Amino acid sequence: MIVVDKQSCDQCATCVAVCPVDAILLDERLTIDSGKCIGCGRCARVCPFGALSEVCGQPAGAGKE
Amino acid sequence: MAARQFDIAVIGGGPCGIVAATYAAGGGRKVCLIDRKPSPGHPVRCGEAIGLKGFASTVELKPEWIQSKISYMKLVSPSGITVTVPNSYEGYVVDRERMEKDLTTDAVARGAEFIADTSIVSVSSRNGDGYECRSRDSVIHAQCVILAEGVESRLARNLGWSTSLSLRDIHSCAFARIAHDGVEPGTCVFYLGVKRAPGGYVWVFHRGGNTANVGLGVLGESCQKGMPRTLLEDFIREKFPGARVSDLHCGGVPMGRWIRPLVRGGVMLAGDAAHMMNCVSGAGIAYALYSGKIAGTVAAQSFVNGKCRPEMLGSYQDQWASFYGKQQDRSHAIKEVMVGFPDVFLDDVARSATKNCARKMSILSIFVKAFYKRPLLLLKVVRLLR
Ligand SMILES: Cc1cc2nc3c(=O)[nH]c(=O)nc-3n(C[C@H](O)[C@H](O)[C@H](O)COP(=O)(O)OP(=O)(O)OC[C@H]3O[C@@H](n4cnc5c(N)ncnc54)[C@H](O)[C@@H]3O)c2cc1C
Ligand code: SF4
Ligand code: SF4
Repeated sequence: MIVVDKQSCDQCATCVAVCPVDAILLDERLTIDSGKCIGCGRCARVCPFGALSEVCGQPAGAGKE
Repeated sequence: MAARQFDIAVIGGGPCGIVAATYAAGGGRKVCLIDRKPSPGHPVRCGEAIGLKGFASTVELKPEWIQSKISYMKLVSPSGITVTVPNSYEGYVVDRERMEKDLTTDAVARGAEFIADTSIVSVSSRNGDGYECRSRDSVIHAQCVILAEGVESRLARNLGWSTSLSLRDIHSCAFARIAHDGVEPGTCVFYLGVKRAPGGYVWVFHRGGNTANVGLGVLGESCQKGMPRTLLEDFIREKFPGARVSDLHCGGVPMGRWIRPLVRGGVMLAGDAAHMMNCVSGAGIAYALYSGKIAGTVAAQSFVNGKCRPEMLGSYQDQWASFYGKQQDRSHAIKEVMVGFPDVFLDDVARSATKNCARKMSILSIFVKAFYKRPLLLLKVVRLLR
């Protein structure tokens, strides 16, 4: 499960560029579709500002923030 | 929701999309240029360096965009050996926000409609009758779509392209503007080495007065959470202590091969969205301007009796492939080898360059000397360049 720290996110879309399953949408803000996410962790690794974190054991939907 | 009708919809109002819209509208079509941002060019996620050649045959460089003329290139090796060479081609650091604002004004003057503050969430085919582009609260129908959405290249995935970048093919970047008396006028400085920027480099580009754009890129494979920002802050603290820092932003640079095919049906991919990039220097503005120009021109020419003929869009890829496309293929091959360069090798290159007086030597002969000690690496390069 991936969560976004809205304060740190600069809306640069680097995470969107590497997501293999198109689970990240940058619209007015960044949202992650936890139904699509396969938990590969690529987005969290490349986010230049470290705004994404992998969180274990969250209930479904908690990553939509 | 009533759909608005256009001949050509350009999605993404960066340098690529703006120029595409200008040429498409100049070709007599009804064109819209859509961007998520409220106004063009802001925030800037770029070092803003471009050679005069990069403007050639696309847009005219306006003197008021120029922030600094680049006279020197400086390379600092991992152990600190410095090689300075006079810049062999005419290059500038430009005010990209101003440039994009002016270019957008030109696009509108040519007849394109600029739709700001609108994020397109999906693009779909209307079964033979063009395409539907949807945002949260609007719908646009167009016969032909130019996707110039930058590195995220997400809408392209709606239409069958696979544009997700592998971690070997992306630089994760952080960047800022600084004001400090240590900034060297008229100079672009590159710092190499695994400690400063694994798989990438740090750059400092003079931007007029005592200011500079400072940034760094880390290869996706070597990146860890938040690394680019931390390394950038460390670098500025070390080299420019007490500097005034503003406009801290981040971004991604595609460093792979350009996407093939560039056209599917009535949709064209251009600029960063098509992963068009000089993979050694990380320069993409010139490629974005050029691909935008040919995409916009070819799109306008593909209309016969008011209908887009998709089979006529193919010449876009041919034109791209025979010019910058070829150049990118070479730069990509070189990048693939450079990723494996150990720091000691880069130090060797720098050492032989200083010993042999870089002014009189070409960059190529410097590399040949350094490769002399590592024939296996040379073989690898030759194989890739063939
Ligand atoms: C840190 C950094 C430094 C760089 N330094 C240099 C340099 O010094 N020299 C150089 O030549 N190149 C440099 N580059 C590369 C250069 O910035 C890009 O190649 C160039 O901006 C590509 O232009 P583009 O128009 O294709 O895409 P972009 O400039 O990224 O524009 C894409 C636009 O599309 C919009 N958009 C995206 N999706 C949607 C959507 N769904 N709906 C509506 N709008 C959308 C975005 O808001 C954006 O405005 C740098 C890149 C980075 C990240
Ligand atoms: S990579 Fe990081 S800063 Fe950029 S949009 Fe994604 S979460 Fe935000
Ligand atoms: S963890 Fe992987 S699949 Fe999930 S959002 Fe990030 S990149 Fe996409």
